[in-house]
Amino acid sequence: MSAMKTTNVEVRLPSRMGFENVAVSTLASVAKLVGLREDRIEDLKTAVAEAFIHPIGHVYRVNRLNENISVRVVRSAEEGSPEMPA
Amino acid sequence: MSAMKTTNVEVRLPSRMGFEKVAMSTAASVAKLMGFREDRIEDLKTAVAEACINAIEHGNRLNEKLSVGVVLSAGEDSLEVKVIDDGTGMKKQPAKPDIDRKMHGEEDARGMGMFLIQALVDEAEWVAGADGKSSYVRLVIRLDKDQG
Repeated sequence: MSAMKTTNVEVRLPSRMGFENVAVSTLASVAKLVGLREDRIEDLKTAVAEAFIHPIGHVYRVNRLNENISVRVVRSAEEGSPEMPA
Repeated sequence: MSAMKTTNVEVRLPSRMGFEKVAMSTAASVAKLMGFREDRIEDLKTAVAEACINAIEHGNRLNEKLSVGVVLSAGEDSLEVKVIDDGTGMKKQPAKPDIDRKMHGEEDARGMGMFLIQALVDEAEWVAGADGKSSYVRLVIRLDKDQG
């Protein structure tokens, strides 16, 4: 049957306090675009904000019929920026 | 002297109508973090959306295999946004839109994007890629010092 289509979105941002909001807005916008329910979007936003304190990037997948949407959040290392407190 | 530090945020989107909304959200979020006023953020969102729609539709011709890159560079008192596509850029400037003619259906109702962008941001330039691809539009909005 039909192959699953994959759509990729990537966001790269600095590891600095405040930028978790940028990751959250971006993800929430993708989720809204693909028709995720409002309450699930709220769950996702909380999860993304929490996950942002971890030092590596994360990939989030949102599935809908015949399509796999992946959102990669990459935290770029910055000179002189201390790791954010966990 | 000022070795001014800029902070970059990058978003990569598929060339599909609707995904301009993702870039709007990211740009709005960065602008908010920088302390832009609400109305300037709305201007920026519209300009970014128009630039992305042009990149998706004209630059990448709706080919979903090509992506649109949005690079946001936050400086001390300005935000620069580059929207990059794989098109060849514009051969010539489009004709200035005539609202009356548009209202009367004498010209295409669309074709307002570039003019909207120019009206909404402090700087806008269109750059054709040197190798016939990677063309971009560069927008700048400035933080007004006395905006409080």
